[in-house]
Amino acid sequence: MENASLQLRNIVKQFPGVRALDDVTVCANAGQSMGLIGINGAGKSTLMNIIAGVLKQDSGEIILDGKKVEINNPRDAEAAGIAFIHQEPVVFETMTVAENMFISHLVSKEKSPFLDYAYMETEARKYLDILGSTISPKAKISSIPIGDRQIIEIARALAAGAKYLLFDEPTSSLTFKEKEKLFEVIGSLKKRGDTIIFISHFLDEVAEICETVTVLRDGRVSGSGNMADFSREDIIKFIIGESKEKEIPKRTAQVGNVVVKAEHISGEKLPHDVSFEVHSGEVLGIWGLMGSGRSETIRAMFGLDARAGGRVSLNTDGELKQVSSTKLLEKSGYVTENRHKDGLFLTQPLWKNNSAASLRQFASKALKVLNPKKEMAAADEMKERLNIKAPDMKILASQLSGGNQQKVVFSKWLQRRPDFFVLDEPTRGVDVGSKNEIHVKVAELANDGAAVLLISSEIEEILTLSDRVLVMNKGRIVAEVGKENMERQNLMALCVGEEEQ
Amino acid sequence: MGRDLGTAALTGGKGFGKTLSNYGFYIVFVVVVVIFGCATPTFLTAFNIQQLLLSSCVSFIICTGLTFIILTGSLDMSVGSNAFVSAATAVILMKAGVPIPAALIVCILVGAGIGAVNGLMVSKLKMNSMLTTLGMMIGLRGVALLISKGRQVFFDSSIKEAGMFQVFGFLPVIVLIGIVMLIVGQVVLSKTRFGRNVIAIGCSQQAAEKMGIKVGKTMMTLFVFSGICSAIGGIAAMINVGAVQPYMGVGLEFTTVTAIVLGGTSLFGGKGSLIPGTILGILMLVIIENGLGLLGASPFIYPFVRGLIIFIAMFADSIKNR
Amino acid sequence: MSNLQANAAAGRRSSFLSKLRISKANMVMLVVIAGLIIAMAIGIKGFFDPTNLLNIVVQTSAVGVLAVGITFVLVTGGMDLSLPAVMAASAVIGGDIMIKTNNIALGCLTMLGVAAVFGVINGLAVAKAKMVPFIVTLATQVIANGLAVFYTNAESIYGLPDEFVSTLTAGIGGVQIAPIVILIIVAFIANFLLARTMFGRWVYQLGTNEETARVSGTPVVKTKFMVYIVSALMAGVAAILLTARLGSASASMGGDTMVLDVISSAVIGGVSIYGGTGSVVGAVMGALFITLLSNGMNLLEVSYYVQMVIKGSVIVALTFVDTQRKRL
Repeated sequence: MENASLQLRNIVKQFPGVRALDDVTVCANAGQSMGLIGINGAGKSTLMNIIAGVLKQDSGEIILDGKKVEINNPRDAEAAGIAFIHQEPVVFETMTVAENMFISHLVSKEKSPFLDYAYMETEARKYLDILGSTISPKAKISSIPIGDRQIIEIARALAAGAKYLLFDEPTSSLTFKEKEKLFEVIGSLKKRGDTIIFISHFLDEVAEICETVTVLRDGRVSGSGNMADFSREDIIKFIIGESKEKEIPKRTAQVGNVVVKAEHISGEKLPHDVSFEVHSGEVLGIWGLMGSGRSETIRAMFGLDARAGGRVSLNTDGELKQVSSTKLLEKSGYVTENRHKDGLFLTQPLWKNNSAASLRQFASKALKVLNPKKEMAAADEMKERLNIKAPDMKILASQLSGGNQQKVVFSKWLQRRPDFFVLDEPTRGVDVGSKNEIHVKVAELANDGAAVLLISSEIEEILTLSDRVLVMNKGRIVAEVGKENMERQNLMALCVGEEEQ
Repeated sequence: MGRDLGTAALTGGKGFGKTLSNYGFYIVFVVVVVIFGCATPTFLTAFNIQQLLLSSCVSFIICTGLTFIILTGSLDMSVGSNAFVSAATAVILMKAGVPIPAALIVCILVGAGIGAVNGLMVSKLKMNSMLTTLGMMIGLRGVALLISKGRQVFFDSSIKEAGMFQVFGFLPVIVLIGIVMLIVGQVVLSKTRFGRNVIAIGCSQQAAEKMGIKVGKTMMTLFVFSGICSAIGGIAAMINVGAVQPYMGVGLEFTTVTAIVLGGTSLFGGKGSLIPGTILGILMLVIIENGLGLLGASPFIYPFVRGLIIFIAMFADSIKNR
Repeated sequence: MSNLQANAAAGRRSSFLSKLRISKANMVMLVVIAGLIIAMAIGIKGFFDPTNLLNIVVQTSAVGVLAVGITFVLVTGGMDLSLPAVMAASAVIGGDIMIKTNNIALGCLTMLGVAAVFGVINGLAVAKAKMVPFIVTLATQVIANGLAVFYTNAESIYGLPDEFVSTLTAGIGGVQIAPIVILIIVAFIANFLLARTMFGRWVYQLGTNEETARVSGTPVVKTKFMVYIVSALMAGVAAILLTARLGSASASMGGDTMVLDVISSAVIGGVSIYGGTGSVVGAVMGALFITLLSNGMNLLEVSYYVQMVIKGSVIVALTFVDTQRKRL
């Protein structure tokens, strides 16, 4: 570890109420790739943001090639030779590849204000060749597919003199071929002597490309060392730890008829031909890692994203009939992945958020006049039912904590009393107490007869709540696991190591 | 404002659709010229072409600056009133005995100053560029009317002679200035770091900041530049007409934006050009009005024509770039 | 006076005022206006003249009606610059029809109809074709103005039926009551629509977070479309009012600065150009405030040109304040 090229020692980072990183020490070697693994919320992003200069650690040191460095902003990081390759490539659509590569330090001709395109294009060609890419430096980004855009970002990093490259979930949106190309590129980088940190959920990829591995859990390093010294089970144990007892009400309802049926749902990129059925009284979990296409499936199902194919059917009046996506959305509850983006009206009071999806219930028949008194009473009722910690339901949604905000989103949909409930990462960014309460609520929903579709990246959440689990990977359903077979190892193994032939 | 990383751009158009989208404008341009050329004998005469160029030169000058602003996804509604105020300042000073060159310099400084005020509000104070420059538009018009007392102001004919002097035997100076400005502007846009930064900001302001581009400084420079272009445009306008008139610059912000969008620059930022884009957009607009005029159409229909054109141009913009 | 507080206060119980749904912010506005009136009555000669008060009333009713209309659009986060021009176009066409057919009802309906057509154009462009509202309504303004000039050959239309003029300018002791009554009725209905119906809630949702609204099942495109129809119809109503008052109609009825007055009224009254906040009541009070200011300037014989400068500066200042409000 002492002669590691990139060392982070005793890093601590505290946010209000949460210790994101607790005395984390991580080392990576030149000419090698270190895999950084952990579930969402384990601290990976925070650690990477610290190296990249977006955040500053509260205490701890960053040591590059034996020298301690101070990184206070992204420019310091770049100057130190650190490059962050984002999951979504940062590019400028209407400009060429060469321009994109050199955008932060465009090169002019000697003593002239004009850009030296010949030089930049030659240099671009040089770095693209190192990476084994045939992209033309003169091509416009808009004509280049996403997989190649990532290569351009890597080339940009190299052109800026990067020696330490951090890859953030780079394979999430890549095809099999593009992934292979990326791995070749990483191989070339290693040969050059660069230091790579590779963040990924895909254990097989980490096993393939990384010499060392570090696993984070709850802000601490739960395991690290040479990849060769660990078995897959070891790694999984590091990631998810020991099981914790949870008190979830027993699932009492009988699983009934099919409430919602989705057939051959395909989106523009993801998903590809996804079909499933959800029965009343059942919790159908959809497990998969980031980028597997679960949220995209739901959005395509509800018509919020363009749907390239497929249809949905809803059980109306006892019969399963095909319906439009709008109709399905009308009759469903949909707790989205990102409550700040599309789950809440942050600048509106809680009671308005509560009735936002069920205004018709509070409107008069003729003129659709709303009854605020009734709305507020309903909101107060929800406050009790969900134990929302707020002085009253008249304060603004922005003033609540994450967990309580999520409960408000829940209440909005509960207000509709839908037969079909979709939950996408329902406990993300939620404190432990509220998390438990939400889990109890989900079980209750199913017990009351609703059909529940639960999407989560957290194995425990899926395991404790679901009656059956669909495993998705790269936009397809790759497996269905019944209650008997539901164990963590099985699920992890199923979504891992799925190669497209 | 900026543009998303849309996959729509990836799929683009296929074959005919793509050809139409890229070359449609040129096709329409040629068609229009041909139609007017056939419809009336006076259209393609040397005299008329010179008239066309004179009608376009003010727009050439002002749109040089305005195109840059629109490329970043912002707007400047004050260009017309800026031209008016600057020109009015120049002639008032000249009447007061200030030597012509000095008066012209002050005029440009006034234009630059107004641009600086706009830039300060939009880039430093982060105010909405549309509404802010709208307010400036009206306020500056008031100032201009005040200093010109709402009357026509005449000035030394030597300026007009200098401005209308025909270089190479046929090209009036003010037209030449306009064309040169557009050419220089295009070179700056496509071949200098500054120009590339402008495009980057238009593509995505956040991404541009991430890449170390000084967005605030760039925007400020652009607004000052637009102010300078407005001032020069004001001088060209007064030379063209022979006087500074109380309704100078009215509606200019609208015709210039129409021409720019027509020429293929997207209102959403990041895409467009001065040459061939803006220059052809301006010419197209002028040709249509000129042609209609020669055909005897009542001047009252011009607003409809302009409105219709900008609707079509914006619709095409929305489809291609949203 | 924070808009966040204003909205929260809007739901609070407080007896009589709550019945009228007047928020704390609007109360402050009311006090300011009262203060301004008193100051002007004392300080400016000729303010309390019946003719002058008449002017204020009529001006406020026209600007007020337009401010009511633009509130709907602004709350969704849009913009409508075409209102005064649409008003003029409706007025000349409708007025002409009224004179030619001597049918008051037909004339009024024509005014509303012409305005509605422009509303449909704006609505389709913004809601369906997703074009930029600022430029779209700028274009409609140019078209509407062109239409008015074209239709009238740049002349004024005189000779509106006496009955029309007299009904809509009916008053007591020289002060016209009819315009105020119409403004109050329109404002009341609009406020009711915006503050108390499902449609109104949708409008606020759109301006607060369009994505959340979409997921929650709010008909986004329809709502966006409707607000432009509403604002255009208000322009039609304003056309009726103003034509009656002037006894004539012309393409330049609105004046250069009316569009600024309308936006200023709304923003002063608490409507944000970024959407999601504001009320019809606030906009009407803002209209009163702006009209008082204009009136004061006229009485103080401030030149029209200086007024242009002042009004331009006011918009700039209000945009600044609104930007700061948003950052809070």
